[in-house]
Amino acid sequence: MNNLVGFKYQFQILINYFKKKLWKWLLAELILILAYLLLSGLGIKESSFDPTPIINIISIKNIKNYQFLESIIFLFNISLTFYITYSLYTYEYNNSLEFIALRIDYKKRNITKLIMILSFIIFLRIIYYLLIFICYFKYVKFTLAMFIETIILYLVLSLISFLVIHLLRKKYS
Amino acid sequence: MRIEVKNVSKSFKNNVILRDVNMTFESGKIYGFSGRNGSGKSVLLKLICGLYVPTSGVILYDGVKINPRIDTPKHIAALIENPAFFPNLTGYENLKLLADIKKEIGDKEILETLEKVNLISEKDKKFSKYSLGMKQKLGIAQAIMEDNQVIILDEPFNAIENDTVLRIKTYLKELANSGKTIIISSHIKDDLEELSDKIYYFDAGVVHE
Repeated sequence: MNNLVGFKYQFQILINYFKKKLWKWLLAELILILAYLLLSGLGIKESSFDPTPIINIISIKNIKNYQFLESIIFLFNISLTFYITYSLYTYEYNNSLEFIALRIDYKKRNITKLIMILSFIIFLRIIYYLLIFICYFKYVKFTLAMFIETIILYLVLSLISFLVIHLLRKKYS
Repeated sequence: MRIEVKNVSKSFKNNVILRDVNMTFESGKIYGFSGRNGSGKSVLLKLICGLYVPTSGVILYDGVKINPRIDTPKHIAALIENPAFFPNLTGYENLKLLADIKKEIGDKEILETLEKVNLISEKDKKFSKYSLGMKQKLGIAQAIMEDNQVIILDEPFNAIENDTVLRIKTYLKELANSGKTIIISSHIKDDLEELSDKIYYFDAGVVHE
């Protein structure tokens, strides 16, 4: 817990970023998903309802069979994960870095930031999953394996992005 | 704290910002940086704070070199360029958030600092509602609220009313008399001449006394 110094400050960065920019991207994603669900079988009789498209957009299992819009949503999710990681990492560098950098050890600041970013990615994925399953619990069977699989994919992506941005920033500072 | 800047140069790509700068800062003194916009004052302040890495040369803090790639110097507080606080929080809440990181001061000290910069009556206003001068005062407040050895202020008096400027200048002199090192940059010569024990002049990346 000693390494989580400045967690409240990082949380404020997240709230500020969400209010300023992120909500627009999340709204865009929601619209994409709704459009996809409408186009892929909603409104069809229950007996002929095929849950595969829904599983496709929250999972990576059927990536080979992706339709155009599914691919767009998948790419959007990947890009959004990178964008969130980049924006949260660079926030202080564009906003009075001295306030936080002179108050907290460099290593602790980065650990706290990384934990905050990864927690937020997990939170987003859980919300994403819950929304889908609450809406379609009749048709889609929840599997823990699939749930963990997609969360881990985005966590790994965020972690790699974080490390790459960190190394590049170190090199060019 | 004694800070020594030794043969420091800084370039961004091929653009040389500072050339072979040498200077020493002693405890209990106020130092002024004078020069046009873009002359390298803010870059040197950031180098001293460890926010940039020198292209060549070294900065020593009480004789110790710090690698800015992995650490920042301790016991320095700074306001460099425009203060960026959280717009959804009040002035007081912003200071409290920063004070909670080091946990060296409590509510009493925060309120006293707000009083010093003449911002106490606006402490519960959201930062987004602050005027330019009020934002600047809050920036100064975060730099002086904790007991740091070195205080660095970049163009601190921008947009602040005269009576508050006088008040802050008096307080900075008190801090210097109590052994703190103060470094102030300004393009207003009169401010520096009134406050500083020593002034460094910046001209296109070259510094002279």
